[in-house]
Amino acid sequence: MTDTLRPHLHEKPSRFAALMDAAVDAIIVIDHRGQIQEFNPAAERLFGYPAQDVLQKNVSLLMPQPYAGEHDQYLAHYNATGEARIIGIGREALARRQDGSEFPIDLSVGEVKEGNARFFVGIIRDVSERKEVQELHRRLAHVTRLSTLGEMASGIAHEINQPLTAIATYAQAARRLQEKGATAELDSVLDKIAKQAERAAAVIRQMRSFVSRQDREQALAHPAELVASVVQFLQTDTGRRNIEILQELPDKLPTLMIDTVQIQQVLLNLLLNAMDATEAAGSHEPVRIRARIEGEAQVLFEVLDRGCGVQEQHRDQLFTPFFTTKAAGMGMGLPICRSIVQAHGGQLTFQPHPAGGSIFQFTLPALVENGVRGLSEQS
Amino acid sequence: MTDAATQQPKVYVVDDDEAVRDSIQLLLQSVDHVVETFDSPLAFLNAAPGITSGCLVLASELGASKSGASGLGTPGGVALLLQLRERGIAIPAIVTANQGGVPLAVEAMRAGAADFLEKPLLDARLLLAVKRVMK
Repeated sequence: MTDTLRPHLHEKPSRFAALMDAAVDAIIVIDHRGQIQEFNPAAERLFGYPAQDVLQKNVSLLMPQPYAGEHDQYLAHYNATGEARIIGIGREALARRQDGSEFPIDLSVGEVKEGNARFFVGIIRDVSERKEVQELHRRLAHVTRLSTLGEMASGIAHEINQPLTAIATYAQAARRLQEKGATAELDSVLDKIAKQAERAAAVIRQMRSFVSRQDREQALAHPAELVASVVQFLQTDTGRRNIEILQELPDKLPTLMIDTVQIQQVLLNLLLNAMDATEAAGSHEPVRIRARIEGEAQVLFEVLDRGCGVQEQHRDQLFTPFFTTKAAGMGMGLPICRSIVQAHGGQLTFQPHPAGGSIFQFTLPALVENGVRGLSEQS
Repeated sequence: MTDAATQQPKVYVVDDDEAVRDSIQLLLQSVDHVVETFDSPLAFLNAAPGITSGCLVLASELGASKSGASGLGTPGGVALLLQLRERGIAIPAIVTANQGGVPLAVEAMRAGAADFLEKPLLDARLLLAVKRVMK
């Protein structure tokens, strides 16, 4: 090992070795050509190689294609130009174990100069578990969307059947007008048919975008627009039940970085619950949705209803899966809402409305002025 | 409407969906019925005292009107039938429904409906029903 980095770090080599050995994260040091100089015990465990098998070998052996094939070029590019793509930043990447299996990692890379020699230190953390949890959240959210859709099915059937009825009746009228020779009127009837078909298509479109299960990236969202989109989606329900949703949001709220579909799902669930509770109390008191800045970097959303409230003995179980007080409920709404909010780094809580009814609050991290919270740089 | 114009019995269409209302009116007019439309049971109730003939084509799902100014006691289709009967207004009624099936049909017939049709409507069924109750 005389040729490795270790002898160059002349001060306290033993402390360096102890650090490497004790590190929880895998630490790999490569030279400017990409050859592995250091491979700590955590790296041995993570990749399944003993250090002696990989020392002096090209680090690309720890990467799946196409990254393995590109790595030498990246290094050469950096050595020649000093333009960093990853150094000093860190990113998510894929790694490859000895047995050929691939796994997601968080990788941060730093540069160390020793005289004329240049080394790169990579710190690697296995994030498979986090990825699995994220995937689970996505699947759960999809299931809730489907079950919410089920609960809304009769409303949707009504929404589609109305234009369908109009289309069928217009068409039948048109045939009779034609038989009578009243062809002058036909143009306007055909226009009306087309308009109703578009109305039905809009319902379908809305429904499809609601259940679609594309993996969405996190994106920027404005609280007011977010709330408005959900209230708009619920227009049929509010109309049918004669319960108004009042949007009480201040003008200036920070932008959020969220999975919009998932958070829409949370809002939708809470608002539907609020309307159910209001209806159960035989009331037509409006449901209120509010938002405000909380602390330094959070936005707090609040859904208030003056409905039947939650009985004291049920409050502990509110967020327990498959607990429900509704005849047709699945008991998955609130648990999934909470898991989605938590995955965004926020909290969802319940408290009784002082005047009777319920208040559900949840927080979401806001974007901080200089830079982006919780976002890793993607190339 | 003058008295002279009311000589031919009218078909009164009550439906809160503008397109459905308009299409039914057009269909009935295409076979020379005289049609008058109402967007709510309340609007029909207000006009009802002067009505002595004709028939009613009535949507069963008449939710709260979206204008929000409907106030208390806005009746649905079946409730309208009961109110008409209470006031002694005997006009034959055909109830139309998006969903509800047998239970709603039974409820409508009990409230005095002359016929019950599911939406989307078949023109032959609707026109036959209108023809039958107008006799």
